[in-house]
Amino acid sequence: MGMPMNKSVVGKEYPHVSYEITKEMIVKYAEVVEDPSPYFSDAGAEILYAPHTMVGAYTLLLVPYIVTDKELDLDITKPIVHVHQMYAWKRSARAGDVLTIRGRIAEIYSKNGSEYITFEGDIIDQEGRHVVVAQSTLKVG
Amino acid sequence: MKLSKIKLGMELPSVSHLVTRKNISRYGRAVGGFNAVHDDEVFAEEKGFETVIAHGVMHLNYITQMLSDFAGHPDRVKMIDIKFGKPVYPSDTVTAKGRIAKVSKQDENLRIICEIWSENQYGQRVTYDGLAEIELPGENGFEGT
Repeated sequence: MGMPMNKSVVGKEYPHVSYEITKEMIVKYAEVVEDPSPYFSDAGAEILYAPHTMVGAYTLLLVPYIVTDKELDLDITKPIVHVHQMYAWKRSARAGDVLTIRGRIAEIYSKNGSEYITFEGDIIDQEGRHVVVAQSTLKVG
Repeated sequence: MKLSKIKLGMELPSVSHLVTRKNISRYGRAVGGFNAVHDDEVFAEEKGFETVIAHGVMHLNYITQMLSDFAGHPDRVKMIDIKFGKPVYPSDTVTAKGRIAKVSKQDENLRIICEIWSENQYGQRVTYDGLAEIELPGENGFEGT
């Protein structure tokens, strides 16, 4: 068994990552998750909305920072499983939004021989307003 | 979309999807993430899974699809909070389910709390202990219990 994660990194923020939500990304995402709603799939619509999980899914953009974080010292040779997810939407993201993810480590704890780490992310639009708050917990080992 | 009257205990129309190996790969590519547990059978088996597993967030969308369809507009889905249970494998059919647990008036709208979960074809919960909040225009009415 490797070293436990470094609990002193709770509260640490990761570099902000920005990306634009394009029509192509939305149509592709809706196709892959097989959501036929015209709100998400009609590229000709005046407003094309992003499926709800899509914006949160892009918090994966933080993964390279997390797995290479020497302070956190996450043992990626262990099984890592997503065990809990929370999203609170202020509004749905739309094509044309430029979103910024502000991610941080919210909690690290041990239970029944496994370690758990919770990440929180604020996803902010081009006007500085919240679109969604995401909280994800991973079980390590 | 014309909504039926809201009643406590009422089940939301469920949403089912067949998960395929191809969809799991395509999902990973669509969100720009590579994680061997979703892409590499040998790696996934070494980690104790039967084979590659689906991304949790991919099948979570089956639940938000159910909520958004029921609410009638994407902006009416406000929150979900849920745990992941059994892994989802290629060839599994995942069915998202929900039940209305609480209804309250909030300004002109109805604020609705639903219990949410999803199951595989064996009835095992692939997500569980979930809660969702949606908001509906008040004119949909509430008939109570």
